[in-house]
Amino acid sequence: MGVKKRNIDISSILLLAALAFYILAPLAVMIMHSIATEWYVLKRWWAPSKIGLDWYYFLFRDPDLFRSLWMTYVIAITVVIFTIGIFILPAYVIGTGKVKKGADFIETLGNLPQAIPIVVLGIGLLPIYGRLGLLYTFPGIVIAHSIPAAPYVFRTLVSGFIAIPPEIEEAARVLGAGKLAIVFNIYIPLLKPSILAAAVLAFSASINEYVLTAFLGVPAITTLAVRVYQTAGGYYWSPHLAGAFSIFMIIPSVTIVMAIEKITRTKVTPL
Amino acid sequence: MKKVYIFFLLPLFAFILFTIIIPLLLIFYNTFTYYGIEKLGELFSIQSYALKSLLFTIFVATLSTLFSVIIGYGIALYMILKRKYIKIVMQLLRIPLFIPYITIGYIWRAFLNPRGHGTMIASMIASCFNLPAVKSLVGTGWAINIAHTWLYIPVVFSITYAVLLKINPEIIDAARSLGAKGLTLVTRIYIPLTWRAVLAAFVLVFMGSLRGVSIPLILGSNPDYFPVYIYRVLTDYYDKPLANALSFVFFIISATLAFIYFKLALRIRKTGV
Repeated sequence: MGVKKRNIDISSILLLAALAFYILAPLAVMIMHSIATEWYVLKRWWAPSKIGLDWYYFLFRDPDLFRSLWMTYVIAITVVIFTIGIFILPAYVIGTGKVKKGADFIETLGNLPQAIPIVVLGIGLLPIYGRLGLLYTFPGIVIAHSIPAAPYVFRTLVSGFIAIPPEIEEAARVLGAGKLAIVFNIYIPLLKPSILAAAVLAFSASINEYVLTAFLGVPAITTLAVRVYQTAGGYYWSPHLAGAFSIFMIIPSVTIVMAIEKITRTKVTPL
Repeated sequence: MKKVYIFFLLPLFAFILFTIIIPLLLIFYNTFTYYGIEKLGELFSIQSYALKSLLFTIFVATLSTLFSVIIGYGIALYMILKRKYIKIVMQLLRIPLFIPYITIGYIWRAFLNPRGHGTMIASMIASCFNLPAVKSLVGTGWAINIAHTWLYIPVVFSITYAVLLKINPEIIDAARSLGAKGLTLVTRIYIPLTWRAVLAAFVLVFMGSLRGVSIPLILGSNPDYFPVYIYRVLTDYYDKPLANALSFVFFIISATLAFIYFKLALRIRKTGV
């Protein structure tokens, strides 16, 4: 019996270690900041001397901060419902090839929000929101957050409809299925992975959005992204609170992505 | 087209009209009403802060894009040639895609602060070679470069790796049987067959890097990053006409880049590479 020879590739391992350090080290620092209750960086820069969950408790104890926390999630969930509601029918028309002429143009329209800098849109929306009374309001922020979410939702839903073979709908029709039966028995079950992927992408896009909230929502609506800026941007520097806020921004999206990938066995990537 | 399908498309049209078309038209109208072409020219005259900020932004965005493309495409090529640790690399490279931009700005500010881990580790390495301690990069274009590269390596990797996988393996086998190895394969086969995807990734990353607000806003720079300058003109100086004029110029630049990207992406989608 021969000895099994292990093929260890040092260069690959070194490259992998370098990449892992680059990607993970700043995130590890964020986690350390969020759990540091005592950290004298001048004496001991590498790690806190005391750790705990004080910053997380603080977030729950302070009514203003806690309001930002739940407001962020409520906005994100509403954005999910709103964007899917708006784009499901257009995605059906494009994805199932019901419209051939002008399909490219409609697809470009769906992707248009991605082509325009968000700061430009914020400045353009400001006078419109002012006139319509949408400034500093919940519906106004939901519409604003739907802008960066729109291309992801539209593209994901279109891909979902493309993947459904048109013969299934025809076969159901031949067998006497009505329009509602086709929607509920064919499209919704087959589209479930795409709807879930679109939902998580819209959720992440909403949580991610800072500029439009700063222009159109602050001070009445202050999301976690705004709180991160308030604690980590400019002259005021509170890395511990910013770390705790960031964790609450990252965890839900990542958890939902992992759950969806496990359920649907498809990859969710915001590209 | 059936009437019912036009009805189905109405929500999309209404959304785009309200959130994109009307705001853009307002920006155009306000720019030409308050500024006009002549004043717009003056705004970007030599020595003006706007021009300095714009040139600085283009320089930083170009560097970030080059770093992201070289590293991201490099990793994709390495993975294709070695076919090792692909799963780990892919999982690692997915992480930045799910981190909010404002958090990316914050984590890099924490990492590159004067007493941050990045600065301290770099200083320790420098001291091994008798070099002076490393200064914090926060507030310089380099910090923005590092953070943007962190964010965009996965984007370049995803786009180019997907195209590299589509190359007919028979071509690679034929080249290998003729004696071609690593570098020859890369320069003679992989790069010529994937340059369009690399270019598309380049434009996409450049576009993202140029337009980013949150990361440079947190990390800071002198002069301001151009989108940050627009943001400050509105939030700090409340100068709406100037913000409109700057937005107009910025829109023209971004729209041109987006047009190039969509053309390239369409070509890749139709031809495969």
